[in-house]
Amino acid sequence: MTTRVGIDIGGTFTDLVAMDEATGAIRFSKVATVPQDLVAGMTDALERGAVDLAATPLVLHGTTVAINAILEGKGARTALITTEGFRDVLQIGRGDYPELYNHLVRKPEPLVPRHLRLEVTERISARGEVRTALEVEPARRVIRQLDDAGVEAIAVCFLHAYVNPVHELEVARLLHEIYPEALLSLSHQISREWREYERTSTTVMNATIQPIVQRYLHAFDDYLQAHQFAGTLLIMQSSGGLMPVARALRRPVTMIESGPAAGAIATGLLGQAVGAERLISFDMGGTTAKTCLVQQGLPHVSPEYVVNGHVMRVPVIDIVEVSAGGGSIAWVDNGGSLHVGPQSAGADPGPVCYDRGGTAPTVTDANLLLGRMDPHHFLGGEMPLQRPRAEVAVHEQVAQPLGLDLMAASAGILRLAQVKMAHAIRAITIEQGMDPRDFTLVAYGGAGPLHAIALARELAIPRVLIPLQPAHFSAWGMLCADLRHDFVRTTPGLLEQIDLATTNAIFVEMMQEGETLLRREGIPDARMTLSRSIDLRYMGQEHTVSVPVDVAPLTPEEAVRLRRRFDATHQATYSYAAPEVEVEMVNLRLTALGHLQPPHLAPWPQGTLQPPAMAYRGTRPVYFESCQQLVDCPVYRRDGLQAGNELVGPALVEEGATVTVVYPSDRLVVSPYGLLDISVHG
Amino acid sequence: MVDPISVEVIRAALHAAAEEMKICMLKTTYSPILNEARDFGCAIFDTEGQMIAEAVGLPLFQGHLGWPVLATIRDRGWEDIHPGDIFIHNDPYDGGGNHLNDVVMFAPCFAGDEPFGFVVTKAHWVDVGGSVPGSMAVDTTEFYQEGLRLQSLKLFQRGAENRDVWRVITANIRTETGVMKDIRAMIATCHTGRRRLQELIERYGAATLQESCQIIMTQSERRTRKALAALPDGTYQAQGWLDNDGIDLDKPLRIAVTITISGSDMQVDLSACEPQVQGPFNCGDAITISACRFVLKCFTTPHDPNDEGCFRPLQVTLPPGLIVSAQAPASVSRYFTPLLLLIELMFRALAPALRETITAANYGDHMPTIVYGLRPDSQTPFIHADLNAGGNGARVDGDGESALIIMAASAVRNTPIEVSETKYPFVHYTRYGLRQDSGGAGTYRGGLGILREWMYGTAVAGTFTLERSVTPPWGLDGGHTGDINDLTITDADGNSRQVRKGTRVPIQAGSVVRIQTGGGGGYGDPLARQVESVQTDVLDGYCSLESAREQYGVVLDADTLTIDMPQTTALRRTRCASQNGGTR
Repeated sequence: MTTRVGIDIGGTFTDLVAMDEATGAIRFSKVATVPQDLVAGMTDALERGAVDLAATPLVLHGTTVAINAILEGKGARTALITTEGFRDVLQIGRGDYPELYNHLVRKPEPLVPRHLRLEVTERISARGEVRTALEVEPARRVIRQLDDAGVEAIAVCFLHAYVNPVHELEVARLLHEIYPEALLSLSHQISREWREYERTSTTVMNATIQPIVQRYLHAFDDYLQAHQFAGTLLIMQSSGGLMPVARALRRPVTMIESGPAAGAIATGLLGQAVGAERLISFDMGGTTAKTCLVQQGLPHVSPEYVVNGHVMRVPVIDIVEVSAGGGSIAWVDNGGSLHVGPQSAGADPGPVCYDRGGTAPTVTDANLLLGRMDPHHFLGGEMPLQRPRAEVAVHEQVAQPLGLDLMAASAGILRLAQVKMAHAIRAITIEQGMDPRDFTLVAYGGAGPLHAIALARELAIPRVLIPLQPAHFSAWGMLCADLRHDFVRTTPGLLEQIDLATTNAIFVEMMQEGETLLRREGIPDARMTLSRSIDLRYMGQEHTVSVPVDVAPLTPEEAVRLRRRFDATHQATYSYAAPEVEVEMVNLRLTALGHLQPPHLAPWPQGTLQPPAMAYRGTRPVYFESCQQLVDCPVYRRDGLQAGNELVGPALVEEGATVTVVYPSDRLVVSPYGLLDISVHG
Repeated sequence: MVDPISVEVIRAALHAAAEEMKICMLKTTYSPILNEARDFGCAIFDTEGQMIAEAVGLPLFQGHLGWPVLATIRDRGWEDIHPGDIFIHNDPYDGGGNHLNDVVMFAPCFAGDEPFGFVVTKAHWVDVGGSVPGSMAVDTTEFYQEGLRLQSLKLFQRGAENRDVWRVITANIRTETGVMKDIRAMIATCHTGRRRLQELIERYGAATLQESCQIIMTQSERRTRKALAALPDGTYQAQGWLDNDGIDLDKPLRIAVTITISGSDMQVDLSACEPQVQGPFNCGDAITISACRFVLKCFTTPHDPNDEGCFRPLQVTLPPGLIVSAQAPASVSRYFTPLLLLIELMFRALAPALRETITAANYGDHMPTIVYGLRPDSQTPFIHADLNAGGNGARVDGDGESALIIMAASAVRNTPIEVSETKYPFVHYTRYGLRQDSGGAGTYRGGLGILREWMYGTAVAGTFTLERSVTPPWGLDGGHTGDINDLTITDADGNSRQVRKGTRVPIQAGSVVRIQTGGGGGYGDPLARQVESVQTDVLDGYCSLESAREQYGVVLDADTLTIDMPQTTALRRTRCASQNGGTR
């Protein structure tokens, strides 16, 4: 028996998921994360999950180690080498205020202090010509200033190095010669795009987390070796793709946001299993709700990401996050408006009804008061919820100040939380020119199923899917990911005057690099997908639209078709096209995917139209806003439902700490894989 | 009566609609000043010109977008405002307040036949005609020299383009700047806003929406009044000086403000400001009131949504004919300069009441550098413009921030060098960094200005305007002034000249343009600054060894930068004594 293991270290919990490769059977385990020693927390998870590492060919891993280093300001001591005259680009940034009306706002502290930012004489022009040759001896003298600086990592970023990296490479040679042990991050190898501040920031970020990530991965690897692990360890990237450890060691900046990606990946796989191509993933936990667009199995990826004010140009799954979770606090301000969040009671002290010291009413308390959660069956009855306490809190802090009754106040809390979430979904659909009516919503996380159908009704999304074990769905998602390598090159010029030979040569170069990496990682050619795209914009615009290139090598005819596709996309997204205006190319992009064997979806016991009697838990009064009153609502246990069963709302389906709320006249069918497949009538 | 939950839902939806307008602008405009520097605003108004929602954007613009709407209603009457209309307006004296480049575009929305409100965007057109490319001369004396004045013109009439207006525009502005494409983007933005607002009207009904808007504004007013009521009643004053009006370079111009806070009301009296001047440093009253609104917002409810309710406690006394309430035909192309000083003076005046949140003065002005000429290869015209960051004043508990673009334009950004050099291959930058010793000394040091140096491979001309090149940014509580702004052009033969304010300043091929922006003022006595902070500043080059000794009385070893404590203590003691002697 062989197992595939995924381990995701989150801020609070470390999740482990182990899948039997033969049967698809899944085991989950969850332990508290040990922030001071992430590897210790992880080994705890492996031991509790009874994983036999000797029989594990593949360990997939997402971790907060990189982002923690940034959030806690614990990056390694880093030096930066720049073109003479430009060491302050990192600190000047774009000169903008991070907040509109806050004159006391602080810019992020640069990750490299000024005295460790060194300048060497060299200059490349925008066209890539050497304008001033690198002066080797002076450069060597500059570098030697770092002799006693105690630096662990060095970033190099020269102007226009994305066009011509010759000087960065030359300085790297010098650095290697002088400090053979130094960890180097060269800007053209980290982000081959123009805009010096953004590229410098990305490169510095890579450098400053590199020593920390290296120590961590080495420690993890030592543990695996010590336990007879002979398989492959793969690391989850922010893009939702996996990479081998060797690459993670060199490009740790790509793993900054490796946690939230997995749920979106899982959504893609689920969609393929049920034949839904266009999906919206919706993950709601204790503190936030996150949503992402997933099409043809792939989550939407954005080219830029910001952490603590530091910009990174690396592909990241385009997740929109709002502060609306089960623990989000409802409060009335001094002007008399109700708010939900951004403060959260989190898991500790948690909602008032947990009776662990929380006094501020939360979304979970509102759910309880409306009858949507069962105080006696929460977590299978392990943790009874205290309804009277929640009543007092909502009454005193929300209902009374607003002059509403308890039910209306509780329903109001949910409605506001749902509005926030709906705006997040609007941002990834309607504002991008997509119609939510064409999509299926996949809801997970502890609180996702409680709110998914209300959201679907709000946005006219016709179909909602609730996976099995929604609280573990993200962890399962790690098992669904593929190997992924992204490449980008800025090559500004007019599309009409495209130099096909050069463009194709760059595409071929990126393709070969991608194929070489994947082959080295053991992926046969048949399991590779290489996709090319070009970032285009109307001459003068700043924002680009990435348009897929369908034909390789690029031909003049395909260039014309590209142009038409760009006009059409622009029209669909921004309500106008300008076919008379010249189109500018900015970046060439290539994504190389190496497909791993996807996990099995195990079939679910088959039943008939009618749910079995053992699935029925009776009825309880539940408040539905559409009815403006308590309705006697049937309640089912999810583990009692069988494939083919049908329910018509109102209905509740309970599973551990999670409840799916089905609204009046919505129709729920249990799919062959045990998913709850709900047609929303709205 | 609308329930409080629906009010919140509608508030969120209105702000989302305004935000979506902003995203549309960002993604569809052509000019870097809009999509990189973000010199625009978007907001939604009711039929009385009251702002009901705004997007995060240029705050100075958003506080007064209601006036062009009101001016139009006054001019045209509702009988001439129809579904499908789109108006443009930039009158500096009636509704606009700023220079002709800042054009408001807005579309009315209707619920059936009844007017409901307006979606409005205002953006900087890179050219609007007039005497120089970019339309922002520093030597104009009447607005006629500055470009087209548009008064409530219909760009669209009931959904159809008004071709005659287009013809006038295209015939009178420098279209090669790409401005016509930006106009398209503004239209798309109006369409987006109108579509969203129309959807909300359909969904909730006009009556519910209107009632909600009233409640939303009342709530904002209540929040603002509570914040005002928490401040001590009293009269607060400050005055300061602008360098000059660009015509008479040696005559400073007075800006004076008196603020009275009584209970939950705030009254701002600007009657003691300089009368309107000959050069283009005047602005209209609308944008001046907007500046007052901005300050009020900053110190009352900076984190809450912004709408008309926030402004209700404010009353501004502003007689016509002043530099901040100019009448036609005053020239206005540099309208923002007096406002930037006014905003800082308002904060300074309020320092006794708001000690914790008031900083020393900033570098004062983002001083756009606008250079134009013909591309050497194609001989087609180009304009190369950018904004300049500078130092922020120190605060009561910390150093000032370095290299930020002026607060009132808080969302604007500089243009990347790699982008500039690619778009204008004949431009070559040689330095872009922090300017050592530019921050005013203090217990807390002012932020540093920047130093930027570049050259052109062809002969060009530039329009420059430097403020605080005479009067430096002030310190507070014993803190020293920051450095003044400076722009120097050095020709290949080594001759150099300083430019304070100049239009069509010739620049030879290979001449070096160097701008050094000012630092913020310091806060508190420099001799009380922690010695270790001075040492770190020297290590990082924010401060020179000499300045450590001269300004802070800190003696460091020139090679190792270790602190010489005995000498430092002695030096500080002597300085302290002479200071005390000096003030006696």
